Amino acid sequence: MSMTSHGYRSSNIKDPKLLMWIFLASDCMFFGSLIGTYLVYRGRSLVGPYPQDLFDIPLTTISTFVLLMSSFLMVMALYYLRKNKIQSFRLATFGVIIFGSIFLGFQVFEFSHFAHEGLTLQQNLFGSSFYVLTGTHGIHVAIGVLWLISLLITSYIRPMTSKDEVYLDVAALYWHFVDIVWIVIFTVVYLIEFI
Amino acid sequence: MSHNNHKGGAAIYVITAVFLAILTYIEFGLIQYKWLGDGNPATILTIVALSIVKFIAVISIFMHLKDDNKTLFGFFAAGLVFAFAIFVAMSFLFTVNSTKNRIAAPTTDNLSSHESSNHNILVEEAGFRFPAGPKNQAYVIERPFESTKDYSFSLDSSNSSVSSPSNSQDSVALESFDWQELGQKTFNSCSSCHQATGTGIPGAFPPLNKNAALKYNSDREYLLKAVTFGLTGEIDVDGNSYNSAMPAWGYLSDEEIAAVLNYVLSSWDNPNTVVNFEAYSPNDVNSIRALNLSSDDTLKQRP
Amino acid sequence: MAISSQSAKNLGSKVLIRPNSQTKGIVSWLTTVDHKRLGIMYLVASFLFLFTATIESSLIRTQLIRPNNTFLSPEIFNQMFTLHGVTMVFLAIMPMGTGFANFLVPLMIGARDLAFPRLNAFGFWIYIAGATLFYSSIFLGGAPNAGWFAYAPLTSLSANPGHGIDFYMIGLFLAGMGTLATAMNVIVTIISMRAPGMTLWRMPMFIWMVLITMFLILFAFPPFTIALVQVIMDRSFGSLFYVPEQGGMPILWQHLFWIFGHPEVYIIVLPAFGAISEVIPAFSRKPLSGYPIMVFSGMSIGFMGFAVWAHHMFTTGLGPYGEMAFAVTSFVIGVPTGAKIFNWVMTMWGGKIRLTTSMLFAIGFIVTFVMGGITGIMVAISSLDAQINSSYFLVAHFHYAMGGGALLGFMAGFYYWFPKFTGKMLSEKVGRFVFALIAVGFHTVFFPQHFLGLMGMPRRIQTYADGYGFNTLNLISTLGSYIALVGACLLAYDIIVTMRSKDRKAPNDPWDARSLEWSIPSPPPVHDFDTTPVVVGQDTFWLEKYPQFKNISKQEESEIAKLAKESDKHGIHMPGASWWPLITSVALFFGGYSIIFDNILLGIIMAGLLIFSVHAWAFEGVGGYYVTVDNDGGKK
Repeated sequence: MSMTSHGYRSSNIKDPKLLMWIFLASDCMFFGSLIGTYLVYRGRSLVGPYPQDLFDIPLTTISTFVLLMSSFLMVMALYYLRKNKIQSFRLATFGVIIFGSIFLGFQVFEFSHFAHEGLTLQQNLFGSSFYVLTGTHGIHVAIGVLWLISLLITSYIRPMTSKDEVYLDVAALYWHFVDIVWIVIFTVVYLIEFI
Repeated sequence: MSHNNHKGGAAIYVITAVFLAILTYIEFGLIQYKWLGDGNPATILTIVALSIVKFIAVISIFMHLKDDNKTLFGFFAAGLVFAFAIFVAMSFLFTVNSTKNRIAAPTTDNLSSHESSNHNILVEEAGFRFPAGPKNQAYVIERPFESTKDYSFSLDSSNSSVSSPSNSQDSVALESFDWQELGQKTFNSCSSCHQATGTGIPGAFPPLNKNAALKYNSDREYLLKAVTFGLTGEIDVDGNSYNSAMPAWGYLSDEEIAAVLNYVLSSWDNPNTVVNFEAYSPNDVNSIRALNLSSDDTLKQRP
Repeated sequence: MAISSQSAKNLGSKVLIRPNSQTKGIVSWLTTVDHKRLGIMYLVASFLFLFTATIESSLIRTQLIRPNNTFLSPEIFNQMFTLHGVTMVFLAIMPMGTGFANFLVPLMIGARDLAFPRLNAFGFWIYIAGATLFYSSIFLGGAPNAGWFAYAPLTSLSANPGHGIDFYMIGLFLAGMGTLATAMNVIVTIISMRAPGMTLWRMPMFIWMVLITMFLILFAFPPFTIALVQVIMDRSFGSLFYVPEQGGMPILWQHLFWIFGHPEVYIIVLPAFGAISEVIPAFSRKPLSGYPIMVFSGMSIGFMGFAVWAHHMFTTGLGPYGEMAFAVTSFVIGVPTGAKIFNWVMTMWGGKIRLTTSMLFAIGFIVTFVMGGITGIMVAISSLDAQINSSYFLVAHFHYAMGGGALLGFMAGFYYWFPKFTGKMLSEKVGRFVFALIAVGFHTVFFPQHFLGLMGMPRRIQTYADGYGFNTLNLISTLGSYIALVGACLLAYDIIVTMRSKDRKAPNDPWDARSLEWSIPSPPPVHDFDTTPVVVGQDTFWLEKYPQFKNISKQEESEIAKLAKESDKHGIHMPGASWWPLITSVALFFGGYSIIFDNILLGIIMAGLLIFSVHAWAFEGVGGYYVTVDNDGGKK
């Protein structure tokens, strides 16, 4: 990402950060459409398996917890970079990557378990809308993990200082957004089924 | 505890993380251990409230929107509000659900309120119809050309041999009831689900081939009930499960119902399976009408 | 003017040599990040697609010239109106707006490029990739044939087994990505890169309208993209979103499509509003009347645009409350649009009007758009809509709004800014004929269609029987389309002649116009502005020329000038050209084919290339070079 003008600027927000927030605003509509589709199709599947047969709340709670804690490590990574504590920054970023990967692992496990129970993309509307919604979220997490790996490697090939804060900040905003989307999915898709 | 206002200390992040973890555990407890009791409506409110708190905590503290430029907040809030408002409105339009009535075959949730297809319009105008419940929703699009066929047919028939249910018994003698052609025409309404050769669609619509004949053998009246009053819920045919809704076709005339059943029982492989076939007459249909069952009753009476 | 290069060694430039400021020829165009070159490429591409779509519409009209015609078979006819609709909406008019915005936004706000030049290049190339993929369907088994809104379940695998629909879905998915990227880019540019003194309330109206348009894109494209993804999943991976037999609800596609589709109408028409708002003041020699009303009405159009989508679905049975709500919002959205019309008329009132070709198009726009707006209020009455939905009345209505409205508006802008784009003046004499032919042709095509629709002629029918009274009006309509086609050819001829002639050089400011882009040479130099502009009010260039109209305190003006001087000390940094936006688009382009033809190997290769090129792009850095302006050669 780039900032071309070194001269006068009409706002004091850095371009990459502004771009990311605008992207996130747009992403709200992406996930809004997906969650909207899921809710419209909720209870309209003609054949099973149905959500109550499959969802495992303890397991999903753990993966939610993992993602929340990765968000915490992310914010700590940014904090350490601001303080120029590079080693701590690397450690925290590495932690985010690990936690993100664990979350993805849970999701792979969940998907394969559901598929084993008979819920495939082609089985019923619940399968279609559930997999596309959580799959899109999973792709977001995967992109975030790749992005953070790139940043972590960068910190080894060239000195990273608090000047690079904006690049990590943008990645962090993205990561937290993925986290809040999961907060919504956890509530609207998983928890609501059991009330 | 560091209070570095300008850049924000690490302590606030730790506190937020612990807070988020606790909220998640509370949500878990509400669902898993039913802390507020089973089926308490307060549970759903609490869960939604807790999620919103988590959402706001992450945005304002982790994403430091709290201390950031107000423009960013404006953009993001716009995205959130648009997404929320639009998709709530969209879902609401589905909940109102008259969509289904106008282009789909009538389904279980509006059976009781109309007996004639002409009343469809009135039912729509009445507006609010909430879905009967999960899993029972069927959404069937009639192919336009087929419905046109049906329509032109019923226009023709109104002043020919087939007349309306009310005065049918006397005017049509049993032996003069010629169901072959009428049955085939009426079956156009069935074939969009049960398919033209009665094969059905796995998981949704059971086959009529063979299946109908077997039911005829065990309970001759059951088929009349299923067509006239509809059938809702999970059924088992040859070890396969079907879960959908069969509309009540009671608004068809006695002749049409009798004719279509005769047509089905004498088509495909059914003649080989059916024992002692005796054609249904319009009078049979008329006597079934008096039972006035619901589609759930039909399921209970399934042999 | 001296240029110093600043080269960067990195991952990307080890693989492909990064072009520098000396690179010439085709490579410099393929790798350019210059907003002016990209803007021109957008305009060229969109005009080519506009021409293609016009030819397609002439074929459609030729088929309908008389009853029982057999010029086009029903299948070809279906493909033709689908191609025409998609090309016009997604590949011609919308990129035309983006092209104008690309070229003009930095010039009008006093910046030297967009905030993310390489992202801008990516937006262009992915649009070309999507368009190419879409049009390649013609050679790969038939074009899409389900209409431009591709209603489910017409797009389901069982109803449409060929590959045509896949090309529609993936082509528009790619083009949509580019549109979104450019929208975000332009928003950041307008917010962060305005020249000193250019507060939001001093921005030219075109910039305001572009800003609102880009926000509409930001919120409207995601639902559409998701709907496309759902159909792609249905067709390629067997999901059930729009499979009625399994409970899928085709009506959901209509909702998602029109949540996008109605704002799309404003995405198309708002930049045209902006262009008109520049043209009319310039040729009336008056400032734009009611500037704040124009801004707020633009905002409320944008806002309300998201609250009216279901008026496209009145006949799907929304229930009385739904229909009532959406009918009311549809009436309400007419109010801000009306306010704009009055403001344009008020701007002309009492002005010294010069009837240049551009101004003629602008006046033609107002008249035509008012007619489209009035029929729009008619179809917003849900009970009437039940009668005329899917008839030629509707065809006439939206062509008046989009074709007559947006297109005539863009033509006005095109004639107005052509000198700035190219440094050449189009012929005013020929321009009058172009205007007459296009305007007369347009009304001859579409005015009779109102009556055809009220007489009951449905849209999208391949032919009609004799004896319904449709014959004469259809004949007139078809003849009109030939007139418009002649106009389009005349315009193309004039552009070619102008570009080849040596003596039609345009001065910096041929129209005595009002905004910043006219203060620099035509065409602008690569770095746009020699010195950072000082903005002293709305229509700042006009105030510079006629200082008696200035309304700014000496102190504020000197503060702004100080900021500009300060800014100049940093030198003029130009971003470096790059291969990676192009390569990223190519990877996505072939990735699209891998989904259409189920080729996993190609998919994996392209995913690898995508990941690599994105990294190469990120690690390449801004690069670029500095431009130093000599004091003598600074201002011409």
